[in-house]
Amino acid sequence: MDTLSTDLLLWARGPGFMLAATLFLLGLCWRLLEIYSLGPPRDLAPPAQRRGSGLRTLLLRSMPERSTLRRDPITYLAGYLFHIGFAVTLLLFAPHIQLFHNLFGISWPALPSVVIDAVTVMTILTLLLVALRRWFNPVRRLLSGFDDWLSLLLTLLPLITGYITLHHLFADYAFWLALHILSAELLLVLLPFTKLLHMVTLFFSRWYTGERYAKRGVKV
Amino acid sequence: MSATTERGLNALRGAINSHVASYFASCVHCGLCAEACLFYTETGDPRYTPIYKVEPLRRLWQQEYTLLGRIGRWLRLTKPVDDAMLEKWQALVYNSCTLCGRCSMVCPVGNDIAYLIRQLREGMSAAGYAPTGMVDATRRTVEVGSPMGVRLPALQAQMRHVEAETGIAIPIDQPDVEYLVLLSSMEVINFPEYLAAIARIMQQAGKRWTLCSTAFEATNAGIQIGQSDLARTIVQRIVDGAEQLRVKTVISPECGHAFTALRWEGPNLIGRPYRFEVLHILELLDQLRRDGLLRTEGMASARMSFHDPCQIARRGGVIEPQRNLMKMVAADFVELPDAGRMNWCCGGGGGNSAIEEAHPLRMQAFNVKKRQLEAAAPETLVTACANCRITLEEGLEHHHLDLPVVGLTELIADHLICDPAPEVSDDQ
Amino acid sequence: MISDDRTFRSALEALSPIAQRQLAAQFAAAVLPLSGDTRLQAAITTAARSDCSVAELARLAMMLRGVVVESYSSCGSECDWHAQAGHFAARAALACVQPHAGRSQAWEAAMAARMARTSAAIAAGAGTDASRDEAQQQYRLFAELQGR
Repeated sequence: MDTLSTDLLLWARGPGFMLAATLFLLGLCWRLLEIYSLGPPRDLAPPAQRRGSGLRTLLLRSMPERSTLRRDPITYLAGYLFHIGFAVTLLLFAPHIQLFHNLFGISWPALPSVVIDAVTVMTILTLLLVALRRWFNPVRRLLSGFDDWLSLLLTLLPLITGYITLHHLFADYAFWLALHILSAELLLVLLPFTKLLHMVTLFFSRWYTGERYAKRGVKV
Repeated sequence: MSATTERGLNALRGAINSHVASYFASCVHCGLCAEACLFYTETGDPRYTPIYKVEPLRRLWQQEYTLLGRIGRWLRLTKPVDDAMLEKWQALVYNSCTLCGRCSMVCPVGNDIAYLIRQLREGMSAAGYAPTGMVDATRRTVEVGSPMGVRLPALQAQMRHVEAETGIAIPIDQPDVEYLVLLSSMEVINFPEYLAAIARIMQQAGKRWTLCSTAFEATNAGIQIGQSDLARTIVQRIVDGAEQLRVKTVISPECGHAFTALRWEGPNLIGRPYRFEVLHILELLDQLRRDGLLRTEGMASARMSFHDPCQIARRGGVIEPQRNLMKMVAADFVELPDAGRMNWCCGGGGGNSAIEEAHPLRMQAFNVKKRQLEAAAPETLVTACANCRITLEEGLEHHHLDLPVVGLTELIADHLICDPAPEVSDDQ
Repeated sequence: MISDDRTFRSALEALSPIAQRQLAAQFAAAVLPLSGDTRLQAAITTAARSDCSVAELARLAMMLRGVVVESYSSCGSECDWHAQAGHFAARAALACVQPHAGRSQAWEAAMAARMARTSAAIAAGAGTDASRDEAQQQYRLFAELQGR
């Protein structure tokens, strides 16, 4: 076995992981502080008689809006596919569950490898299609910048290196496993500073908007 | 940097809060907001993507309120928001946005993009980039009392006209009555039928009401262009009038933005809650209906649809009342596709109809309304906003569609049961 | 002679469609000078004829709708009361050629004509009785029609 690969792997699993987790938590805290310490706007208007709750939006905004779904089913479909796909490969793959067990002491049933395999491929393909669309669709092209391409890369790397590792596609298993772990660590470290932060901030955003309209009695 | 640009940037800084920051941090550039915006759907121009319209605000936030952004500025990796950018964005922020809020309904991460546009407008207007027509309208409201220059004598002339037509005296400056009725300039000038309808409905319901000579105007162009200090002056005038007359409830007219301004933004502008309630006229009519005080007879046989004004329905929360009222007087009431909360804007709101140069774009955006109408095929279109009414008529005219547009309050009044001898109101 | 609008409105609503149109044309003609638009005169003259065809009326209606829509005071712009008088004169003319579901054409024309007169009075800074004066004129015109 290649000692470089072994060293890399050991580092990735050990100090690398500690570093990445620390930087991730620090980065996350910093970003959330940076955003939410600005304080909300005040609202002195009395609520509508039949006032709703922002909780509704928080939960239901994941559902598509009918007229927009008709116009653009692709964005919704791609969104569901790669989010669910990513979550499945992250949370329902036996080696990953083992990792969570080592870290937090909890575990849950895994899906068969062959299923994870298919999901991984589907997720990668979906992300590649998203990338193509982002390049060729005028609206997405106009909106996209460094952050969008970086985020795509950060998300694809663990998936691709994971697939390579799982299938022993190249001779040096340890090397690709190390890369896989390092790519996940890179994702963690950079996440708070990219649009991937939406994973946390979207709950606030949905809540804010939900409250604003629910207060007026509009079901959003 | 010029003083006005600096003022503009300061206004933008003042408009940034945790909501604004959270929204920009959450945006994943999915582009779904474009699919909800009539200006994009009817033109295919990607610049009309709602989140793109607020790029100056996003850039300022990112560069001045985030660590990475500040580092980027320091390293000269990014361009700051400057006068040229604000100028370039003027048309996007005003001509291609009516604050209709459809984008805010579909954003998957929950961004209220219409709110972001509203915040950006504060900076645009402070920097001198609000459209001239709207700036003048706001100035006129503050100086004269109405965005269209309607002074008390003009209102009095309309009152006389309506008194002759209805045989009902129109009360003005009556203290201690239940309702203060506000009007919008558009109604005073173009639709006197509205005041006549109010008079007849109030008489039948036995409700005491009044106009106010120092505060008869509800329209608030300050909200539309984003000049909170002027918007405040306009609201304060109404609050002073209402509190001096000691009314319980102020009735906002059919005008859409007047309702948003008075009901939802007003208390924040003046810094305190009101000492009275605010109802939209449709809410009042629905209340009267529920209390059995709105008695109508006969039904219009023509097939009718209702166009929900954005500021009243989606952004104002008044969605059910108009349906209850339509069912009172329309035998054949059909909903437009996407009616109610997701209705498509007429294209003229947010001050847009005051921008001449935006006319071609407005007429192109109208195609979405045309498709809604073709699907439902009504013979009459009913709405409850004077500006929607005119914008709809313009659009119908432009697209060679023959379809009458009427106001809902007027339609209800047309069907009021004729009481015997009209009593001269003794609230003199 | 009629002296209040309640009675006036009922009486107008009771007229035959042709009589409605002809009376509407008279109401509109009275305020025609307040508009600078030459298309209104042609419309009013045609509407006043008893032998006017449905197709002709429809054509005029389409043309006049354009005039009405063009001449609205647009939201937020400074109101020019002279122009507004012209707008209402156009509305009066339109009422002559476009049947209104549920409302009498003559009544529509009468109200629009009064607003035209009121708008002109506001423009001139004159008193607030323009509508009442115009109403009196309209009662007289109606009485003359009945007299025939």
